[in-house]
Amino acid sequence: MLPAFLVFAVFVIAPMADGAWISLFQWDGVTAGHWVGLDNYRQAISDPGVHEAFKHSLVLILFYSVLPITIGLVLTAALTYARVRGVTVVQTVIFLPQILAAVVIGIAWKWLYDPLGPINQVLGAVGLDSLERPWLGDFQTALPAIGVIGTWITTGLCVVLFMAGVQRIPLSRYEAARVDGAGPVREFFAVTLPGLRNELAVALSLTVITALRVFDIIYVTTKGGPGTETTVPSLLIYQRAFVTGQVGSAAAIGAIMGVIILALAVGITRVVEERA
Amino acid sequence: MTTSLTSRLLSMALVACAILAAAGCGSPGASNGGSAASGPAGTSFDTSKKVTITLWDTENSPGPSKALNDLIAQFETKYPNVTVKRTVKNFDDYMATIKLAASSSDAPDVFQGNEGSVDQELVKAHLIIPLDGLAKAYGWNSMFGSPAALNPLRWTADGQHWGTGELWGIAQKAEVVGAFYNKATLARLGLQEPKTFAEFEDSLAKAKAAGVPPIMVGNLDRWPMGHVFMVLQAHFDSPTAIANWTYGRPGATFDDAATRKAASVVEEWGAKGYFENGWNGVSQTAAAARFGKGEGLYFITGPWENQTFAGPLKDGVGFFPLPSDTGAAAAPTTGALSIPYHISAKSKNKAVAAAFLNFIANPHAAAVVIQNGDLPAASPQGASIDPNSSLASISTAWVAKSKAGILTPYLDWATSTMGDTLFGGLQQLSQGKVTPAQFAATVQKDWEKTHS
Repeated sequence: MLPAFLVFAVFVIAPMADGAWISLFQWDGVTAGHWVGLDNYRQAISDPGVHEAFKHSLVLILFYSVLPITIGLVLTAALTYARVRGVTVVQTVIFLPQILAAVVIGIAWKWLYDPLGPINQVLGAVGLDSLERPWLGDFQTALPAIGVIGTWITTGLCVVLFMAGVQRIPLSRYEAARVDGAGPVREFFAVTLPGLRNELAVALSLTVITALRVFDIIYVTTKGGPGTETTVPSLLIYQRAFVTGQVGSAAAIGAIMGVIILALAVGITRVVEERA
Repeated sequence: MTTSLTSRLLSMALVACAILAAAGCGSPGASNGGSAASGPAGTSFDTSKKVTITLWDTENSPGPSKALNDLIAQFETKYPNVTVKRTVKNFDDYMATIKLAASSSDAPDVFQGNEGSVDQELVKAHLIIPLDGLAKAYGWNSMFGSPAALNPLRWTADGQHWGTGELWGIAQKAEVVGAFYNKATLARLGLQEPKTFAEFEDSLAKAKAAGVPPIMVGNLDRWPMGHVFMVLQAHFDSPTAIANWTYGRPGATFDDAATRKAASVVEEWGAKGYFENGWNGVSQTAAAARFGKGEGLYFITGPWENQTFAGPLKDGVGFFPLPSDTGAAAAPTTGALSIPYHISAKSKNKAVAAAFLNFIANPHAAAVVIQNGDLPAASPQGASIDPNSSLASISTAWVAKSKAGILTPYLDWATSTMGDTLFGGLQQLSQGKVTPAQFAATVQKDWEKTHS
């Protein structure tokens, strides 16, 4: 235990403590910083730019978490009920985005979303010219467009988690349900869903955290634009820490984000455990 | 599990406190800087001792990058005892890491900073050395056109006042922002190179009517529209007012009639469809590549893209700075020496670093820069520019405008947050999401946070 804890202390706790300490200073990252106490927190909490960034995170939770879990459950139910052959192949294909580097994904989707890119070409080819738009540069579609990339990435994780979970559910329960004359929908709500509670908790925690931390995809595609439509807290942290010389403020936003993520993770675990 | 989590959190908090106490909790950055500015390095050095100097730069476009590689090879041939190790990154990544690299214990010997807040922090933290002694020895003060061209690289030693005081860097290249145009397309539209601002706007309308994208711009990257706006502001506002504002002088304002007028033109061109289709969703690399393939009429940018266009289009691409209203007098436009090179205060080979700096910026280097299709800061020795090329027009514009003192600085030098504020604002303005008045007010508010 002790060696593991030492590693944890040096590489996780110490940097976190350092970050918390820096958040109490006004510091440009190069010259000596000076003590400002909780000012960075006060400013972050009253900064409309920070509020907006957190609102965007909420929207991204919908795309990174709610949608993939829903899709994952539907796919799992379908695959389970139909007992399709080649499930492994399907799982592998859906899981692929998980193993790609986010920068590669970002560049690929940037090309897909280009005003002259494949998505608009397909829309044009099937006569939906009116829907063509610069997806990442349009004030209405930029954030959802980023969200769709997230859905594409995290759906595979959810499917694999749920399929693995389903395999732990005793077959006798499914047989019992079928003997009782349950259709696919009844079977899903009576057997599959209750049996997947733990997997749901894991999927929810992981995807919500991914949604809140998303940075690479946005950095590679929109850099927070157009305007501030796709700015998220992690992008603000990056800009303030490395570009605009507001390291204290960046650390404060980071600390706030850390607390929120921790609270959500604990909350999700609790809800699931109480139900159990 | 809940209880164990709670107790784990508690113990984590306790350990955190212990670590903080052990660390002594000093102010961050207190011991980061180099020693107080050390005196000028000499021009001579031991040419028998093997040394390696490290270089960090952001010259990642093909032309400028090759020019630098050529010069490094020549320098190593001239001084066989010296090895130059180069690290190159794209602009955004570079600017995000250079301050950290410069303050680390193995800081690069020679590196690029940036005019404005980046240089200011480097000076304040004593991470670079003043170059006045070297400038005298190497003749840098008169090497780059007028001595005033070096003013944006001058800071007082405390880093408080810009444009005056000691010299902290020199530049290899020069920049003047204007309109690149496709000669064949202009001729096909039955037009000549515009001589007045009205003729320029008229050519935009004609191109639009003929189904040619009037101005190619890939503003997904946020900054490209900045150059369009800056040349417009230089057209409507006075160079002095723009300089005063950029250098943070008291009483300067962005929220004036001339600047709002420039902003309204960006808004109007956006509404009329004068920018290429979906400009806020196109990357600058893609837009530049397509202009190089013959798409669109104009591309408003600087000489760093010249090779991207002149490579494929050869003499088929031209360049002119935006013309004035009457076309008579020379019109102000955006331009400056390019991103400066500095010598690290932590360098153990300052004299070698200085010789290298001189080698990549002097008139011989200028010739190498020209051979690679970019505009040098010094006047070149022994290289001539093809008079039909876009580079010839760029060079003429640079010489005329820097001599006349009508080049205006880049607006994002003004504060460390200005790039984000200004460029994000232009994405909004060009699509009519904010009015010119709101745009000007937002930018001014950001400026006042730093220069109040």
